Amino acid sequence: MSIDQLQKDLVAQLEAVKPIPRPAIIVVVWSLLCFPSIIFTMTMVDDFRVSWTEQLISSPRFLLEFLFGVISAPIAAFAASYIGTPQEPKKLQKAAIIGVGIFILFLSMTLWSVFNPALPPSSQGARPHCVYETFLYSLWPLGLMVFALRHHRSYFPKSSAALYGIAATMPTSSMMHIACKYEPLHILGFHILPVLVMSFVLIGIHRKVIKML
Amino acid sequence: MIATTLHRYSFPLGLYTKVRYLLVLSNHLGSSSMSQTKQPRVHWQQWMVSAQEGDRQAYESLLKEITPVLASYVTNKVGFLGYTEDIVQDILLSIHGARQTYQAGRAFEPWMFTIAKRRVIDHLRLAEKNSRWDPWDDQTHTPELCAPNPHLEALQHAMVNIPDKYREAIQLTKIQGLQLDEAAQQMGLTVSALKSRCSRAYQMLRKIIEKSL
Repeated sequence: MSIDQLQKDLVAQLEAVKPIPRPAIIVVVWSLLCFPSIIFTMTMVDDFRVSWTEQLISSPRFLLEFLFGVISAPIAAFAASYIGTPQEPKKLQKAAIIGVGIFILFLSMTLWSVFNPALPPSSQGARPHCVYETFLYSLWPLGLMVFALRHHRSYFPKSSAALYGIAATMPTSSMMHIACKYEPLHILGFHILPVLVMSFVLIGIHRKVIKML
Repeated sequence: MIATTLHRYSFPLGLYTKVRYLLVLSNHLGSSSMSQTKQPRVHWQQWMVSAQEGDRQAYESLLKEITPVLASYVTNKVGFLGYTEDIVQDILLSIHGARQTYQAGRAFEPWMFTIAKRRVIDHLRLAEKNSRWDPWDDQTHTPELCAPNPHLEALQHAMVNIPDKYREAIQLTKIQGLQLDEAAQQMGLTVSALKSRCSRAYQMLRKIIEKSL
C-alpha cells in the first residue's frame, strides 16, 4: 500500500474522538474515589490505632512520614497519567522520576525509622491481616486507574507499570501507618513490601495487559 | 465548531483550557506572516484539534504536511534499514490510533516526534530480531562500503563506539567476508562463540543508534 493510499484510508476512517482528560483531573477524581472507600473498608474490618491522632500531632516526623505516604499515591497516579501521553521525552522522564521519587523518599524515611524511630515502636493497634488487606485493597484503585487511563498510550510501559503499582497500593499502605501498629520493621515487611511486589508483578505482566487493552 | 469544541471542555478546568484553545486559534487566525515567522507550524495544532472533532479536511491537510517531515526524520535516523516508507506508514497509523492523547494548546511536534521515535525504535528491535538488519549483506567485498553514504554514517559512528573484540568480529565476518570457521580460527574462538559475539555486537550497535535518535 502506498503512503497516499494510506492517507486516504485514514481520512476516510476518521471519527471524532474525545481527548483524554488532563492528568490533574484524573488524579483528583481517582483520589476522591479511592481514599474514602479504602478508609471506610479498613474501619469496617478493624479499628484504626487508638492513639493515631495524638501521635500525628505530637510527632512532626511521624506526621511527615504519614503525609509522604499519602501524597505518594496521587503523585504516582499523576505521573502514570502524564507519561501516558506522548510528549517531550525529558518531561516524561521528569514525571516518572518524581512519581517514583516520592515513594522512594517515603521508603527511605521508613528505613531510617528502623534505626531512629519517629515513635516508640509498639504492638498497639496491630491488625492481624494487614499484609493481605494491603494487597486486597489495592485491586480497586488499580482497576480504577487502568479504566481511567485505558485510552492513554505510554511509551515507557515499564515505568508506567511501576507507577501503577505504587499508586494502587500506597493508599492502603499509607493508611496502615495510622491503622496498624507502629513498628518500622513490620511496616517495611507488611505495608511497604506489598507496594514493591505489586510494582514488580505489574512490570512483569505489563505486556500482556497492554495486549488485552 | 468553536461552541461545540468549547462545550467539550466542560470540566472544572474548562475555563483554563478554553483560554488556551482560544490563544491557539488566535495565533492561527491572526497575522499570517507573524505566525509563520514565530510559530510556523501552529496550524498543525489547530488541524489536530479539528481532526479530533472529525474534520476530515483538516486531517487530510495535516497528514499531507507531516508525512514528508516524518519521511525525512526516518531517513536521517534509520535510512540504512532500507524500508523508510514502511516505517512512515507505521508512524502514521500510530498517530491515527493515538490522536485522542493529543491535548489542545500543547505543541504538536513533540507529540508527533515522540510517537515517531518510539516506532523507529520498535522497528530497529524488530529488524535485529528478524535478522533483517544486516547492512553488509549486499555490500560485502564492495569498495562502495567506504564511499560517503549518509545512511551508513550512523552505523560507522556506532562501530567506533563498541569494544575492539566485538568490532573485530563484525569486521572479519561482514566486512572482510571471511567464513565463520576462518574468522573463528583467526580470533581463537569456536564458531558458536563467534556467533554469540556477533549477536552481542549487533545488540550494542542497535542500542547506540537508539540513543542517538
